[in-house]
Amino acid sequence: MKLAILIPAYNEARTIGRVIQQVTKVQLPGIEKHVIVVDDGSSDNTKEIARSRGAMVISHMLNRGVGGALGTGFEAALRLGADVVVTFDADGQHAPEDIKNVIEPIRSGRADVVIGSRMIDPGGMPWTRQVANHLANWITWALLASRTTDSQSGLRAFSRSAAGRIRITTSKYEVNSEMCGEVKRLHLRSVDVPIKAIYTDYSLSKGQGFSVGLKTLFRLILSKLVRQA
Amino acid sequence: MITVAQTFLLSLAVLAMGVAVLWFRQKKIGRPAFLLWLCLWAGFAGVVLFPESAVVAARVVGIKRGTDLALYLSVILIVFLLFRIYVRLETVDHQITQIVRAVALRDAGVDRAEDDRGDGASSARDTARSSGRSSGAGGRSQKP
Repeated sequence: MKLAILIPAYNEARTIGRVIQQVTKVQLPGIEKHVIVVDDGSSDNTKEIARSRGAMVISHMLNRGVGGALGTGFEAALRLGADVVVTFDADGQHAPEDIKNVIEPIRSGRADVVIGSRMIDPGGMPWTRQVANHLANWITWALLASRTTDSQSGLRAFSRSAAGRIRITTSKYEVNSEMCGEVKRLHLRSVDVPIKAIYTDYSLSKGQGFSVGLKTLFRLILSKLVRQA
Repeated sequence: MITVAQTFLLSLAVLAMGVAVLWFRQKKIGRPAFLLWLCLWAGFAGVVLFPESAVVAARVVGIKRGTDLALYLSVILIVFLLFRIYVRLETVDHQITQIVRAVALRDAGVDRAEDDRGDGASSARDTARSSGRSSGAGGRSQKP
């Protein structure tokens, strides 16, 4: 089985090398692992570091946002023949050993999409993040009729057929909710599995703050209107 | 008796309608936008020529003053135009992303590395391509 670990990265020179090393070291018997970094127009040396750590690097000449980077990564993973695609944040927020947990339901045929949920066991998550994530889940349900315990998680797994059918039209953080909406629209089998979140000052500074969250909400509503127009 | 202000405003309306006709002939705007633009400026000209018509129209919709009706309609028009601009910007943004993606995949050497296993994902992608849209999680060609 071919697994593509897809890491969208924008100015992540500080963490990208360590993240690639960690995911490369994860032992997954019987699985051919490929690490794909989509450098989303970084102005630092994210691209060079990723390449030096042995990852396949696909480089955007312009910054398009996490949605744009994920779209490119999925396209590359499918073209390279990946059977399972895992998305993984570049800021060091995820524990590499959770990759096993998110791909297991797909390997066993129980699910098409697996969401690594930080909210099932939110120990260590700042309360402001917990409130924001609950709010994001509610908005995702209200706008896209999709229920999940962590709509904004960056650690997810997709079967090849799910990755081939899901359509991404947004380019920024609203892609997280859009993917949940696609799971619902396409009647894909989805499972939430608990994952550990590692919060550092750096990873917190990289996530969606209040103002970015509001912008995401605004764009999500508008994209919903535009899509239906 | 037409005042100087009315003459100026009527000239403006005629000019705007002339520009709309020109753009329509040059196919810069479609028929719906052309008709909308023409109706708007014709209405504007009508109100300039017969100011009391605005009062009558306002009362029909339950507003006391004609100027209030004009104000409300202006706000609605501005919001509509802003939304149209947003839609256009989104379309351009999607197109830029597609170009950036195509270049990135080509430079990475995966633009022609299509697998030929003929499974569900490939079939879905091929079907979508033949129907004129890209698909898969990478597909972003859906026009708003």
